[in-house]
Amino acid sequence: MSRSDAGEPQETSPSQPALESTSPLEWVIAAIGGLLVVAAIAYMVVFAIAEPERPPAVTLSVTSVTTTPGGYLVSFRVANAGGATAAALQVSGELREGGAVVETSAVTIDYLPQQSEREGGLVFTRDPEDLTLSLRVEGYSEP
Amino acid sequence: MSTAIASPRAFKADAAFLRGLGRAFAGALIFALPMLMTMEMWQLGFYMDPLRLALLLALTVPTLVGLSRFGGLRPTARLRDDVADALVVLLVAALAAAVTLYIFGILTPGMSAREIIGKIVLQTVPGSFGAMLARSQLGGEPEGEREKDPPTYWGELFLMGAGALFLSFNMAPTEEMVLIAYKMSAWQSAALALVSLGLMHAFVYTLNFRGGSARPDHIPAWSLFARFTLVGYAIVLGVSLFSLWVFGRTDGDSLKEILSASIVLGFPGAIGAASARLLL
Repeated sequence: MSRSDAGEPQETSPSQPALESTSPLEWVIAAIGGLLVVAAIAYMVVFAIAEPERPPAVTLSVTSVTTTPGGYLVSFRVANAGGATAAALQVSGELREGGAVVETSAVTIDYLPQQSEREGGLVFTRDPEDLTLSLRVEGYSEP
Repeated sequence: MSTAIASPRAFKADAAFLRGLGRAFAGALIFALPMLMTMEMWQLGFYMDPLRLALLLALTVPTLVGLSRFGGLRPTARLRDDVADALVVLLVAALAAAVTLYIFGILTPGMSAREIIGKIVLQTVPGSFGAMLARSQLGGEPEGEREKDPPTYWGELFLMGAGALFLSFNMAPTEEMVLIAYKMSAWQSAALALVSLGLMHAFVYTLNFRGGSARPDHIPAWSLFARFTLVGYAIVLGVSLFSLWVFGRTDGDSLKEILSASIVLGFPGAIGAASARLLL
């Protein structure tokens, strides 16, 4: 690419003011731009090669239980350690009292990209502190 | 070059260059804002195939160099100046995309590098087109003075392809392209293809927009139609198919649906190709 203009005149003569040649400042900025483009392409290619095709691997953890006017809010974080994005991720929670389910709640996380995390919340009308709380990921679709 | 840094002429050139950067930033925002505010574009940033994203960015560079030949930030003398311009607008577009996405809260902590880089790279592509076109669309200098040689036949075809990309890139990522294709019957698809062809021809040769080509008297209409409109529409369909494929919109679809979606996306593409001389 850099050699292709070798045959043309070396410098623009002052008699052609309409044609500007590239200033050192512009070359610096162009070099940064070029570096970024090459880095981005390299990153994507390396990512594609290094990351084998893996399904989403979602882990779920409860971050807090707070009392809100609308009920008891169980905040959670889902993290995807897998190699693909999970779309329409279904998260559900149950409150049990001595083995019997007394309340359920569910929410859908639109997208959980690979190697990323998202947060959400489930609302219950009974206090989870007094009961057995369990959250789980039910399923997802491919985007 | 080192002696030129100190001269007042170089300072003037740098001031003009910085103004050009500002203009490029504005152009990147004007063209990329609809996409920066489109949900599908954020999502594609992380779930589209990284190899396709890399290919898209790699192909953007020569396209920008070509656009710089015909418009661009400034009148350029040599190919390497066009390459410099292309790299500069890519940097400007990436900055514009990163800043805007961050302010919108689309880039947050907890996102992987892959997600953040993917989102910015995807938005950089349309932004860089806008930044490159900022010169020709928002530029201060009168058009006439820097009008370059009229493009050759191949240059004309390149401009049509770029014009198609310019308009269809807005719509290719959305669900609606495939949805419209599902809703249309085969007859309606064929009709849309004919309408696109007719509009393309009319836009360039009949309506006489500024920058449109007046039909030279010695060339028969059928020849122009075959050499420019038909070939142009084939390029438009190719650009549409490529855009759909890059965004993964063709994966798993039947040939009929892929063709139909290409024709749907080819409709804005055809308008873009026909008005390329106006836009670019």
